[in-house]
Amino acid sequence: MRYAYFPGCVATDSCGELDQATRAVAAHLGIELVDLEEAACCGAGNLQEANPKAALALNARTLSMAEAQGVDLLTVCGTCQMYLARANRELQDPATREKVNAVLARVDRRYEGRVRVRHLLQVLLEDIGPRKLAANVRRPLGDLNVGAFYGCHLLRAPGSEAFDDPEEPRRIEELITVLGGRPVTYGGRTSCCGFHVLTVREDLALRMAGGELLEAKAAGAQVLATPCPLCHLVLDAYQGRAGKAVGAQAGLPILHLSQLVGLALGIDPERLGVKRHLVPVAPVVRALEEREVLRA
Amino acid sequence: MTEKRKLGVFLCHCGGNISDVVDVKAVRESIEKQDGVVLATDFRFMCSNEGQERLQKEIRERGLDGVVVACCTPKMYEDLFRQKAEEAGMNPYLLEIANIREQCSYAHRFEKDKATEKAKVLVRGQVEKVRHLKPLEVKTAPIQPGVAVIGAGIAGIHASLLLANLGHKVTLIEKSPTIGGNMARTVKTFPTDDCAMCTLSPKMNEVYNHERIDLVTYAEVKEAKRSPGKFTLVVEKKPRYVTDACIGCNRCTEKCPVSTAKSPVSVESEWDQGLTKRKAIYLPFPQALPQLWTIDADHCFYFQRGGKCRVCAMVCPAKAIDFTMKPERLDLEVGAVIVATGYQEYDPTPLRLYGFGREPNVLTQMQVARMLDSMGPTKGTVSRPSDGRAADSIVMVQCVGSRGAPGDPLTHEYCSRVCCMVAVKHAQLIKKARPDTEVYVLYNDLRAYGKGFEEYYVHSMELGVKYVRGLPGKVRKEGARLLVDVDDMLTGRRLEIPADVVVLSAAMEPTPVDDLLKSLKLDTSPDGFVKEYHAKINPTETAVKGVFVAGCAQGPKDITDSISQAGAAAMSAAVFLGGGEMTLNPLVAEVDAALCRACDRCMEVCEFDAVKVDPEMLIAVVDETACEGCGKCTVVCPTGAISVRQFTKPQIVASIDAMAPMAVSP
Repeated sequence: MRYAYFPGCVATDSCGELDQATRAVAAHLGIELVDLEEAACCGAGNLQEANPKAALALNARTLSMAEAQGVDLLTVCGTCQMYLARANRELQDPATREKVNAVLARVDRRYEGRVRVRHLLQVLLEDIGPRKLAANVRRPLGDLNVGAFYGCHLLRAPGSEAFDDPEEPRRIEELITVLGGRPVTYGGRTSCCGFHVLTVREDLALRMAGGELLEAKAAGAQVLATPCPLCHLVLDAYQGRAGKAVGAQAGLPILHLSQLVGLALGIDPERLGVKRHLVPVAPVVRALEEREVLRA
Repeated sequence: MTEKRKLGVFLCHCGGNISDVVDVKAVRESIEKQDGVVLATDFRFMCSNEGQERLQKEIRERGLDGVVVACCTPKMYEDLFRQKAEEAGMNPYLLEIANIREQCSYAHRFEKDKATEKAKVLVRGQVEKVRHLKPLEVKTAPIQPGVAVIGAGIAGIHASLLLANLGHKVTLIEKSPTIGGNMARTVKTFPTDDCAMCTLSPKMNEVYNHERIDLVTYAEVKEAKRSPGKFTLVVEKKPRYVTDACIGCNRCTEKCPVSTAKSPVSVESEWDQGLTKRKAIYLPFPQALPQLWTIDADHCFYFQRGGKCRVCAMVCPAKAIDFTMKPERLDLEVGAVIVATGYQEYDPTPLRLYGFGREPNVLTQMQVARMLDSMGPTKGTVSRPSDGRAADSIVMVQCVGSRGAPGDPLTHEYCSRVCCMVAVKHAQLIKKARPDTEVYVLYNDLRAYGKGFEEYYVHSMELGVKYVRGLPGKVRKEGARLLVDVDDMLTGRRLEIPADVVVLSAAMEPTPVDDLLKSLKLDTSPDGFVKEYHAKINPTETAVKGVFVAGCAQGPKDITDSISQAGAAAMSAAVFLGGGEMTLNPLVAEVDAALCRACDRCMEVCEFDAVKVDPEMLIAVVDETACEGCGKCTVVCPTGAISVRQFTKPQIVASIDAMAPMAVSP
């Protein structure tokens, strides 16, 4: 199993541990990740707003790199998934594609529209499949109550409706079950984490994140799992301030899917970078390790 | 979150510079009622003694714990007012300047009403900022004694001597077997025709014998690490395979089989720029220091042929040859580093039109310098390398590798500054020695800019040196001679000049020391030379505190300028080392450990190598001896964990809120 790997900027910069965790999980499951040389940012909506043509050409360039390798593209980020998949859909139209290819010709690239943009969640559940995944679990999540935090972009990516229900999603919950955990559902799980308003309206972003965290806590979640580094960053690094903004601290550890899967597969937590988190993950790790001993 | 503060606002008229445009009284009245302001007053000259005394009196009598002085730019008197406030018992970092001169009365001279409104806004913003400031303490940090000077050319030698004479311990590190650098090769120096070695040699000896200078030759800095107040350098001393027992009898060199007529291996002499051969065991030049012979293991038959040849060991009367020497590692701890790694001459081979490397009689100026040495390969006469005949016609070509078209990969865009005068020097030395020699200098612009340079240039014309404005299009071979085609731009004629020797005035290039610069975290400017802190007013410091740059490492220079700059660099280093302690500016970055995720982004953007992530704690740590407080890290920090003191987000937001109430908070 081979994918062109597009970690995106947040998973390589602000939350480098997610790139680390993804590579560890991929190696464990026998997924080969092909690094793209000088791949560009997906635009994250900002570039799309400022210069849609440039954004489309940039993403076509990234997709052409995967195409040249003859593989699909793997993302670990809701935002990357949405903007790359959206570009990919636009590029299925031959006329649009030819226009963009005229631009790409200047850097000696060409895109034929043959790549699929796949998120880690899809790869785990569809390409690896629940059976193989379950067979590899060494540290089952056991009685751990895991709340899924989908965030906004993953479910709004074109093609995601075929994979999950944007209004009532269930695929992360499915994954949690495969890993042996207990999924907890709550209203805020499909809301925006606040990342995209953080720089202009921090107060609003904090109220959004704070509200969602408290909802999850009230539903009984002990840990949140997110498919997106942006959500991961806000929910972890801004949790303290979000708690202040809404008047109560949730104290919920945040795990990206790569980390959650990694822990269940028995990968050393240190290699998953959980020490970098501001909300300590240690209690979760301890609970899992105790269980592992019992099972042995 | 507003502190209860007693704030004073002092408005300056600047003797009319401000008050002729800004209605100071209106500004005063607008601020009087602002929260926390217990005093708003104006004065003709706040910077006068009277103004300062008034500031101090009000602070004492009213117990002010926050002051805004609305006057000229903080670059002028912020430090002074802070010092005065401190003397009066207030924390100096609770004083801020509102710039109502440059930013109001000067900028909006013809819009008095608007200037006044802007002044009100600026003062209001600063008052609000001061209300959010925290008192800061000034700390000091120890600095490791000692300086490392890297490169023992004229710049490194001069800087070392000054620092050592001031009482500092200096370690002078040189990568070649001898000190002296390029100056040693130059024979004579312009514009006085002093003998280069006669002026350099005494300084070399002084360095060699100085009790406070540790000379480490044939050694390279492999790694440099900066920690607060200290640099740790890892220096590797290459083995010479000759011990201190060497008595300098030269027998080994005489008997060494390398570079003899029968030897299949011959080595070009670095000292003579490839015009002669040298042995595998050698002394670079007669005045070399230290006077220690060196075995070049890359060409020595002992090392290259599995220990078969031991001729030098057999003839050495002092038993000084030791083939078992190993590289030695030296760990050096110093407080400051001076980079004086110098230059190398540009290799003109890629400029095919000049024929360098193809035609033996096309030389560089440095090779001609060697020929002009009365002890050199041709005993002082410029001759044709092809047959050894003295050259009767010599054509010099300027700007070879310098002043190229922007973006040309084969040449440099910059002017190398010294080549004009080097050509003038060599041309007139040739004329003086053999007046019948025809000497042409083909130039584009002749730059005789320094003290005594123009006179020197004019004198060379009196001696009969011919200057032609125009650079050649081609150097061709015709029989035993060369023909140089050039358009004389001043007469419009095409000249075809026969030449025995063509001399290329090749550019100065920075010595390639990329690893060293990377290790010291030094940047280079687009020309490849070490980037100084400020090209105009701070050419000897670098962005890394405690690292200084001297001589041609910073840019092309002649000997005079190298010495001047080396002196300035030594002075800067001495000031930096001071009494072994540095005063830390408190207005630098600090990290809120509770918010840091150790993502490294601050580290990536820091130009001053001032923040590092502690791998154990997974928290970023600011080195206050290096931080400049520029604030780049605060912008990239994804969690707001790092901020510059007195420029924290709440402080800035409070200030903006006061200035433009609609802009920030909803």
